Amino acid sequence: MIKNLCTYLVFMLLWMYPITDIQAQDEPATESEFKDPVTKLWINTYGNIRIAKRFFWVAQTHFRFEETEETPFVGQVAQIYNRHAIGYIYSKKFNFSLGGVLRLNFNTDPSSPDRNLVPEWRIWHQYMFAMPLSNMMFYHRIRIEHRWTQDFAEGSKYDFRNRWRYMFKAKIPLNSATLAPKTFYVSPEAELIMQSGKPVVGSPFEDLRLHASFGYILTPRMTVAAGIMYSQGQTLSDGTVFKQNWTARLHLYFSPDFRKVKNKLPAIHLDD
Amino acid sequence: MNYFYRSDYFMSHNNLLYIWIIGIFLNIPLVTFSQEKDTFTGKYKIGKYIGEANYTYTFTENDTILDGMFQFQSSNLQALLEKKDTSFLIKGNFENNLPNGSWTFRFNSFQSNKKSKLEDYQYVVNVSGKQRVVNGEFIEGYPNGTWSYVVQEIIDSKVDKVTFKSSIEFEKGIPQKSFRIEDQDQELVGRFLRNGLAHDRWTLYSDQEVDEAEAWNFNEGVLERIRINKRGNSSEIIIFNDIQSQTKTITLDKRYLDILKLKLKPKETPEITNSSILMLLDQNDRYYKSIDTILSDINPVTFAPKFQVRVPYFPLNISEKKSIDSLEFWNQKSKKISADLQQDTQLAILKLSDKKVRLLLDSVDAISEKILDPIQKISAYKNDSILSFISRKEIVDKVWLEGIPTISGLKTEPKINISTQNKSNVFFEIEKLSKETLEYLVAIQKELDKKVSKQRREQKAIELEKKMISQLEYLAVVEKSFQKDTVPEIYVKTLGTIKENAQKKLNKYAALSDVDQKLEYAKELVVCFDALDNIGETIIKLPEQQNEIKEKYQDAVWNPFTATVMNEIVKKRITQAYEQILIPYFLQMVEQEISCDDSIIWIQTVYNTHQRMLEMREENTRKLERKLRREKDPLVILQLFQVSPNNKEQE
Repeated sequence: MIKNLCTYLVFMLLWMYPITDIQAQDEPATESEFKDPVTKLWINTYGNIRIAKRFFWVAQTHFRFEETEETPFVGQVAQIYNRHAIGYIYSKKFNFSLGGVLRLNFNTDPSSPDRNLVPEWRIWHQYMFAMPLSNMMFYHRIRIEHRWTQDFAEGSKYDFRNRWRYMFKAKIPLNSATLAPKTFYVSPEAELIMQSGKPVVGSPFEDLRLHASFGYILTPRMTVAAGIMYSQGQTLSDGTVFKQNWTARLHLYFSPDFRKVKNKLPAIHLDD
Repeated sequence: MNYFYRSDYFMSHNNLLYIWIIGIFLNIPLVTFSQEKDTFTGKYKIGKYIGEANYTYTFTENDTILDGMFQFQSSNLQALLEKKDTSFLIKGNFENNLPNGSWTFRFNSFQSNKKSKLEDYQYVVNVSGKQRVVNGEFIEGYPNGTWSYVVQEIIDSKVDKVTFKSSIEFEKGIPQKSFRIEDQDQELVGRFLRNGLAHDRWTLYSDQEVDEAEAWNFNEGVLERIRINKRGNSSEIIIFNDIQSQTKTITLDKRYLDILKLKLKPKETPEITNSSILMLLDQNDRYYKSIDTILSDINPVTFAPKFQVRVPYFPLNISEKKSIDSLEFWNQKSKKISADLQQDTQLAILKLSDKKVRLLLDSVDAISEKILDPIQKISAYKNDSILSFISRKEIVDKVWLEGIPTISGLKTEPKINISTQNKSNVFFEIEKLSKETLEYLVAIQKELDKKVSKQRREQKAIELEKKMISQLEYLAVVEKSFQKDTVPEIYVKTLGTIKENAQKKLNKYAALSDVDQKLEYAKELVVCFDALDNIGETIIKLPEQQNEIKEKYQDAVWNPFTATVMNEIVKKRITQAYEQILIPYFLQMVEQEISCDDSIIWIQTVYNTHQRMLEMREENTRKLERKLRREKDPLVILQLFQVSPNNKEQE
């Protein structure tokens, strides 16, 4: 397991190298072009539903809005996506999940004559590491997605790409010694998303997301958070053009446990 | 002769078979009795005697029946040579488990001079010490024929002197003819009738008197007179002369001596108690008793001289026995009261300053001496079983020389009157006196109690005050132990209120002037302060108990988003009702100056609530939680929690 993860990390570093290389070699484009930032609003629900001592069901639904000329942030629906997986709790400090995604992409180009809605399919797996440090928690997340996308044009074929994502995140309690109920916390987060695949020519750097959120733990089973995210990345068709986004994000985390009480109790501490 | 004839008749009719069968039946008992005897040889123990025994016996129906020779002895040469040997030899015969035939008992306590010599191939050691030798014969367990008991002093294996010797003749346990008992200085001879009754003249000869030193004259068991010669002076004491009443035959023993003492005038008593005849008889009794102690294990018949005498007999009727039981009962109660009064140190001091008290105590002393002690004597006669051998008049004369006293003028001035009249039912009269005396003593006790009670009450009040102060101080200690930063202010405040409450009560007590009122209130307050102390102790435990509940009502839950285990409070409505409604309610009750009576209920309710909280964590409380949703009334909550609430509050 660890060995595989190392391989992935090495792989990602190798992918990051060409970013700078491309910029140096591409003669015609002497400098990158940064598009104007687009404002967005994401409303994300994250469900982790415990189904067995070590298994949980990941059920996430994200509603993503995007500005229109008239309305910033929430002008139009951009994507709705459903992310599901079965997770396995290996220990308190490591868990992994495998599942699928169905994303509904809405055509946000008002001038486009193409289809308004196309589906996107993904298979994904992720590896989550948790590190306690003092009263804070740090997390490393590696997520790999295999995605099939298509254009809005009628009869478009599915393109296959891989996404390589690494996220580093912290949760720092503000009004309590630990992350406990009735605790406010701040959570800075940085995620690098790389991509590969036949359609990816000179644009492997898909996204860099810098996100800070402010959250409140209502109960061990319910947390809410809100934050702002800045992201940038190469457009797929032209690596010299960078898109930018400012996204307001609202998060709802819930983790119900429908197991009978007698089954729950021994599972809490896993193998402590 | 007839049988012979019949036998001939049978034989002549050739019925030999019948005769043979009858013969077999006749022979069965013979076969049974001719059981084989076994012999036992080995370690044996009778009472304190341990030694080697050798005896024959038969075994019938799981019982060992001694039959034939019996020998039991012990001697230790090693002990003799080193220090001293106490040896014995008991030798005789049994027949059907009863001593029968000739018996010898020998007890030695010898020391050796540690020198030995060889004589005819034997080492001979000289011994010195004491030897008791008893010889005689038994018939079916009873002493029979002449029994001699000799105590000798041995020096260098030779009899140096005989210190005691008795020789008594028996016929199946009953002393017969004459006996002789002597010690070094004197010799007693006497005789009996065939039925064992002492008869004629029993005479003691002493080396110090030319003539007989002492003589007891019996007439068919009745001791008529005693004559004593001392240094030429002779005196005579008449004992039972001209007996009018019925008589009873008893054994000449300690009881007989007690009866004699009652008969005698005071100045005659020493003559009897110092009687040399009695001394010799007593010594003889004790020697016989030493043999009886050994034999009592193996012989149902008591081994004793059993000299028989006759004494006047006055049997007690049922009503007399009842009276005696009653008078004993009253007298015991009276004695207790009089002893209490006489030993009361406060009264003893008060007597010095109060004339009335002195008068009353003097009368208690007089009653004790003139009524209680004499009645106690009658009780003692009863216990010694001599009450029915002495006339009623003699009893009264013996305990009250001047007749049965009566008590009069109880209420005004104590006075003991003596009535010389002879009453028909003496014991009934004494019972009456005994009861009246008790009533009188109770009256005296009451009067004296009144005298000392004021002083006692004051003393008691001082003791209670000390206790109250220490209880109050304890509250301060409790409060001090509690003033910590972690404890909410309300608890400290409530404890302060308790202290103030106690202080107020103490101030009220101090303002009282009447001693009786003060004492009553002090008694109340001591109980009350105890309750307040307990409330203090309970309050001090409350924060700790709340934490315990808080911890108990937590579940550890895994939060997958933070990857940490978090504690979650469960059954929130219950814990909130406890923390936010019940605890403030309990403290408020104390703040409102809880009454002493309610204190115990309060402590119990708080305790029960805590217990229920611990229990409810494990119970299914879904319904209860629903009911608690909007409930704010502490009494309803207590009811829902099934804690028995404060009764008074419920009214």
